Amino acid sequence: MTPLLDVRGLRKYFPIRGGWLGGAPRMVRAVDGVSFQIASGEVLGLVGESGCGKTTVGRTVLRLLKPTEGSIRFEGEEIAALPDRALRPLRRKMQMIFQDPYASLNPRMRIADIVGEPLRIHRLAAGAALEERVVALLEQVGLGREDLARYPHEFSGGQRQRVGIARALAVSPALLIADEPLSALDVSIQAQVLNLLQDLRERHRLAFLFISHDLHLVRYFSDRVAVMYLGEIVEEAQVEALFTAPRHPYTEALLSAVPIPDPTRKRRRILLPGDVPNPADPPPGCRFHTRCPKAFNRCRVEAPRVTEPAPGHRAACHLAE
Amino acid sequence: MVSVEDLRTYFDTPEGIVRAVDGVRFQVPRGKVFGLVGESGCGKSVTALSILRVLPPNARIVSGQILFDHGDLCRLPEAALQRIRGNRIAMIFQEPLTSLNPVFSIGYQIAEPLRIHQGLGRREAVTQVMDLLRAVGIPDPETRIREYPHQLSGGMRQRVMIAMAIATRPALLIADEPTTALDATIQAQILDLLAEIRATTGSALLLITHDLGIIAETADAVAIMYAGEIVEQAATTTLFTHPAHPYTQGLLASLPRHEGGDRPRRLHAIPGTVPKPINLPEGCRFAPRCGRCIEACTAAHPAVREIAPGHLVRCIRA
Repeated sequence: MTPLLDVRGLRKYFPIRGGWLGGAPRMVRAVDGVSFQIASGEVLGLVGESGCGKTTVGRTVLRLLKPTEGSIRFEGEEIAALPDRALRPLRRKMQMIFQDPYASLNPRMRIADIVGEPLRIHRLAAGAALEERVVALLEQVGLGREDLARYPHEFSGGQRQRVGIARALAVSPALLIADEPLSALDVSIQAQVLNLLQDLRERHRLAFLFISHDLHLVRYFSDRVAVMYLGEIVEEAQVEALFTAPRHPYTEALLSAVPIPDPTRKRRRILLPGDVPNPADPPPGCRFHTRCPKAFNRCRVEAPRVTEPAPGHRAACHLAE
Repeated sequence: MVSVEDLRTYFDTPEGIVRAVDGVRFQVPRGKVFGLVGESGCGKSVTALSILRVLPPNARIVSGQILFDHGDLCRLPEAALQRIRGNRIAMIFQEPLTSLNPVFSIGYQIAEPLRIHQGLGRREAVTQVMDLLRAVGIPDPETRIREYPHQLSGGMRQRVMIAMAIATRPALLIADEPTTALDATIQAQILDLLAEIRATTGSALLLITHDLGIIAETADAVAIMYAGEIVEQAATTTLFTHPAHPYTQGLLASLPRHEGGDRPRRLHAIPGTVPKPINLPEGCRFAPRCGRCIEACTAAHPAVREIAPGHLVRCIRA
């Protein structure tokens, strides 16, 4: 079966200026050879720390950014090189939910217009039918007709995120790219919005690329999880396999670093030394070797291949081979 | 060590008076970690700023006492307070980039409290700064001492802030969301560093966070704040194993948990939102969102009760 989304060898480099007076442009390799698939109705969690390239993956898949190299197939169609004009039909099927509901809603637009805009742009509804459709969307996310004439500032953070979700759902997409959709929200509100996403996912058989740094949320919401480090996916597996039997030392350390809200459980943290290296100048060999507690000589010179130590469980580590 | 008694800090705003901190009472004993938890706007940061009296101009401490070093910080003259700030009590903020001065070198900024409060000369200060940089795990301190905040990563900047805060060996460290801006692996490094510092210096730590995971792993005792008040307070293990206030119970239940394989299809969610601080409910402030609310809850504001030794709850149903 053709996956809904099939990404292979995706690269996205950003030029940075060489020195004070220009100089030869250097490249930040934000995404450096990433491959993954998402089936219809499936949730792939994409985790990693800031600067690992997870947001760039989301934006490139959506073609808000033009990939430097690689293939992005959506429902079997190659979209990596499509000109901007040809992307419009695609945008009906792939939508985005942003992190910051304060910054992603136009403060001068009424809710009716914010949620109705995609319907107008794609000529899916007009007039009274448009309004009815908008009301139906608002009701799906727990808002209602009385909110049509209100402006974003009249809503709380959680409600604004609901508006953003309603807008994304307006065109009945098959895939939602959700980039840290909950991290601007308080704990009690996070649960409300996560439950909403769960309901919508079941009702519409929505697939998600769920980008987050919060491993508790990712574990709760995802079917499969991919872990990124310095522009590469270092491990990918079914959610429970990844959380209970990680194969990559970075995943192990990342999991052990997350505080658990249970004072009766004492664990040993794996402390990684140092910082993430500069993505403009990644280390040779395995990119993680500068911080890896298990690194040996081979790691310093030879980049590990991706292997499949268990069915559906992939890792890029010499020790997983 | 520090004892906060019935602290009230109000803000004058165009819409009216905001009771940001409204009768807060707690103690941080020597060498212990006290966690202050709550969601945005609950008053946890204003509590910290009140202790150091570094509040915005439209805020005022209306009543209460903050007992520290045999004095009341609320009533101390400004000059005396200056000898305490950054010396006996130091603060670590969430965002080191905005709390460090971009035009002074790292070394200069860490040396500042030493030169002001301990009157150290340049040479002695440099030696101590080197030791501090090493103590907070900054590699290559000889180079770093001359660098500026923008040249460091987020984790390194937070280490610099911590070095600055512990320079004078304060009796009390206040850390307001010290790792919220940091990645998980860097957060782990910083939490580890804070624990190590406490073990070696014996300072008390007031840890303010929204992250119950961090509290579970670091705090000895914890207070949960809601709409300007502490609604529950207990030893950390007690609070997590026997939460008594419906808000605490709701917060803990809303966290995704993964014990025992099968994940629940839905998370427990606390309905509604935090009340507007201008317009707080007359009775219990949590009543409009509470599943166990009865008539008496909205009729009168609940007092704090001690339901077990050291376990305080502001709820008539607990």
